[in-house]
Amino acid sequence: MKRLLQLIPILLGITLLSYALMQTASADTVDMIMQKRGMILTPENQALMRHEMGLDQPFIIQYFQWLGKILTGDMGYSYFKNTDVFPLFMKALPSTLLLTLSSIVTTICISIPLGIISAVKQNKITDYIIRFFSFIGNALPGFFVALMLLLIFALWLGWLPVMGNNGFVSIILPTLTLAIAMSSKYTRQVRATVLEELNKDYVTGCLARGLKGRTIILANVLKNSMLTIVTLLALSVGSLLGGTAITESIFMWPGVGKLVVDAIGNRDYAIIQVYVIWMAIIYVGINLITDIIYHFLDPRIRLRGEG
Amino acid sequence: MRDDSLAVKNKKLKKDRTMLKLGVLLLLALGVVFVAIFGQWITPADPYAQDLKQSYAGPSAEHLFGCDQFGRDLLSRVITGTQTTIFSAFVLVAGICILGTLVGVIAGYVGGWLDSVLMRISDIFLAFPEMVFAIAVAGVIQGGVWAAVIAVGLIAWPRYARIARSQVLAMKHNTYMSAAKLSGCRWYQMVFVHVLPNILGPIVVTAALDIGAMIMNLAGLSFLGLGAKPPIAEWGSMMSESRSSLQQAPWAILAPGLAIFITVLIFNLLGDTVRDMLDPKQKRRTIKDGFDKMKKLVRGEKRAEENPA
Repeated sequence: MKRLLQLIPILLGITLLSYALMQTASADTVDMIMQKRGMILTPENQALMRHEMGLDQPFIIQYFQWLGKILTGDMGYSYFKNTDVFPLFMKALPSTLLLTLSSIVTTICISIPLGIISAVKQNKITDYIIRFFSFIGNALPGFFVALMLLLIFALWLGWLPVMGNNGFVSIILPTLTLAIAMSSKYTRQVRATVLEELNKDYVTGCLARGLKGRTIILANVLKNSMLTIVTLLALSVGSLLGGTAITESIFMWPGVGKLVVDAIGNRDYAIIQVYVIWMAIIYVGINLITDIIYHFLDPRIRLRGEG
Repeated sequence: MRDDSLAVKNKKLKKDRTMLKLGVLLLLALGVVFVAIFGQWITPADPYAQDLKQSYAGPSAEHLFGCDQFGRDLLSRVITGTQTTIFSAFVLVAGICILGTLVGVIAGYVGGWLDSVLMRISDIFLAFPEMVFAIAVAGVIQGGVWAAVIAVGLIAWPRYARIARSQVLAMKHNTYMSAAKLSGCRWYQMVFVHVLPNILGPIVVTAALDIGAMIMNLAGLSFLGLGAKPPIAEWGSMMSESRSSLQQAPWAILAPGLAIFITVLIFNLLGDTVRDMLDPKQKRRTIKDGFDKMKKLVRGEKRAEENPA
């Protein structure tokens, strides 16, 4: 409950910051709307337009007016596309969430086994190979990976479609792009977590009781590492949400990332604003859910943290 | 006895190896910086000279990396691009490092309401996914490389503030702090002589690890058209320009892409090495160590293991 109350200032902050950001561009917006409507750009006209849009009032008042609108569901209007932005955003969101989800699943499938193997075989050849590849993956920019995958699998081999969304096959390349970057980071983290867990006394205890190494790892170590692994995964969703913008625009994946990149090109600030706010809210929401999962998974936190 | 001396030798050997690794990586990093500074004098051709006859020419003796759509020499463009990339990333990391540390030290040292306010502000920034925020800010200000630097910097400083603050809080109540205060140190002496040098380690490690990531972030923004603008030779925007000719001229993507990859790799490795050196609590154990520990416990050697003199 306390955690929920803490969210309020954060959410207010998010909206305030996003609003301030868009205000810096408001002069631009005025000019753009006027040009679109075929009005002449004179100082009087501009002042009139600013008044009409309420831009001549003090910042804080404008902010609260705007916040009121948001809370009643009016997320702004795209003067470029002549439509409300919220439906636009909501239409694109499922594609992005689907891509995010498939990337996370792929990442989990790749990095948890690799991380564990790497930790158990520490400083053996297997460990070095896994670490080598995770290092390489870490230094590869997402857009480079995306273009290389496109080149190899779509253009040279012709196995997969180049872009767009035509069902299952189209999601493979964007997913791989995001999963490669994420798995490289994540494998190392899983490895570190498992190593730390192996270091604890109960592992020694289990060994002393004559349990097999493999049993200990699967039954005890993995279970105890799960908390850290889940947290790290939730944190990496942030970088994933950002990464989708680039990946989507390369693969023409019709998600919010592509929407916003296109909007930036058109200087369509309302869409950018909705994008920032909602991405931040989704991120905060995921962190909150993680905290709740944490709460249920670990009785130590549940018993200590109450109050 | 023999065991002990062997352990000491091993430790020394390991330290030597770390130093060697650091030396080699520093040399490589300096090499990159050298290319960044003197790039314009060592390019084999003019990076901006167009020669449409050479459009999409493949790698050859004359053009080692091939040419882009305007027939510009890619090797020269990659070399020239080093400057933008390295300098913007360095300025960015230095900037967020200084700003974040400053905020963190003030928050931790002064405490009270100022601490709460500063930390709430940093919480708000931390609530945004990093690249999402950077893309939006760069998209709104749209002013070339420096807009991208500001956009990434604006979202990245709170991490440093957090680290600096926690470090200050951890060392604030040490006796030498009270001693310094009692002996009449002014606040600026306290901060610059006693606080800063003692909290620098973790901040330097974070900064060293951040350079590679920041190079990638900036290149990503440029790729989206939110950083360096064509015709400026910058790796991200070069790749963006050559995107449409992926099939025709893959080298136009490969050259800048590999340049980013290698640079990031060098700085990541360097960051890791710096962390290994400065972070003393890194102790690595395996399940085999568990067995060893158990055996020692059985033999009653635990004490010997815990106090190796």
